[in-house]
Amino acid sequence: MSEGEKIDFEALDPTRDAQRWERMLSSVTERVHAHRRPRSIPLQLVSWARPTLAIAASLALVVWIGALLARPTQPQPTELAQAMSQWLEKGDAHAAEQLIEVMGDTYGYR
Amino acid sequence: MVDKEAVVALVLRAQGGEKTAFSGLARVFLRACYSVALAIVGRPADAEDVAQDAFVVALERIGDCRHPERFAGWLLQIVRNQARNWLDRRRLRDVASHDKMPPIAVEARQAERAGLKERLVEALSKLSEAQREVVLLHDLEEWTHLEISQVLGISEVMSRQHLFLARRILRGQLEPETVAKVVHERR
Repeated sequence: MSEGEKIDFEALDPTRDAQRWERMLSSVTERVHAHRRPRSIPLQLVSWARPTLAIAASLALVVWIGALLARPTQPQPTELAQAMSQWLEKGDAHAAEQLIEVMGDTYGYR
Repeated sequence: MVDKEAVVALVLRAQGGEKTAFSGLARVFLRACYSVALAIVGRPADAEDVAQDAFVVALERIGDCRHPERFAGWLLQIVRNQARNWLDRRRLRDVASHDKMPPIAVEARQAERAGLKERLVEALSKLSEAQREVVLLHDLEEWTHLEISQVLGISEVMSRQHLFLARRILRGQLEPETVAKVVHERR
């Protein structure tokens, strides 16, 4: 072998066995065709199940958070104090039990 | 390699879903895929599997090949990735049975008592991955240094250097005695 001579890789050449090589080529193209072939409806439904569930879960989360944020706000304690002072000014004071009942109702304790 | 225009035409047809274009591309490039896979995985049988798998992956994703004129480089990068993944999986499998010995060295050991194919594999195991890629693409696939440099992303000078060193090492490994033996085995 001289310095510039190429190495004979024939023993490693897969095309040496022509029939086997042809089988390999057709196997590759067959596999590509199989992957590209449209799938049956049940298979398509199965493949869509996971993304559909994920979208449904996300929507449910958004709706739940929206519902939480949209809940009516509770009256601030200052508003209650103002109301009570107004009642007192008018001499319209309620009994303590009634006041507690009203406050409790306002804060949703009942 | 066939001329670039023909390759571009085949890639465009394959992107359009034309079935004959797939087999056309396979005919042109499958052996190059095998050469690159062999340079990485070191075993001819594994290299055939990797080449086929990588080719199927590439053709499935052919729509992602935005520059059909650079199809060869794009394809061989997929082959490299597939081959490295394969090697990682094989290393995991081989750890227990071969006590962490690199697979290519294991292959070389088995080759001690084997024929030409195995002797070539053993000799290739003495080269770096880049040297193996260049010498296989040049001497098996008969690509030019320009083509090799374009697909491997190296300069033509570097490709020549790799080839020169690879051939020198291989010649040292495949002694005349071995070559004569091999010729005898072929008969």
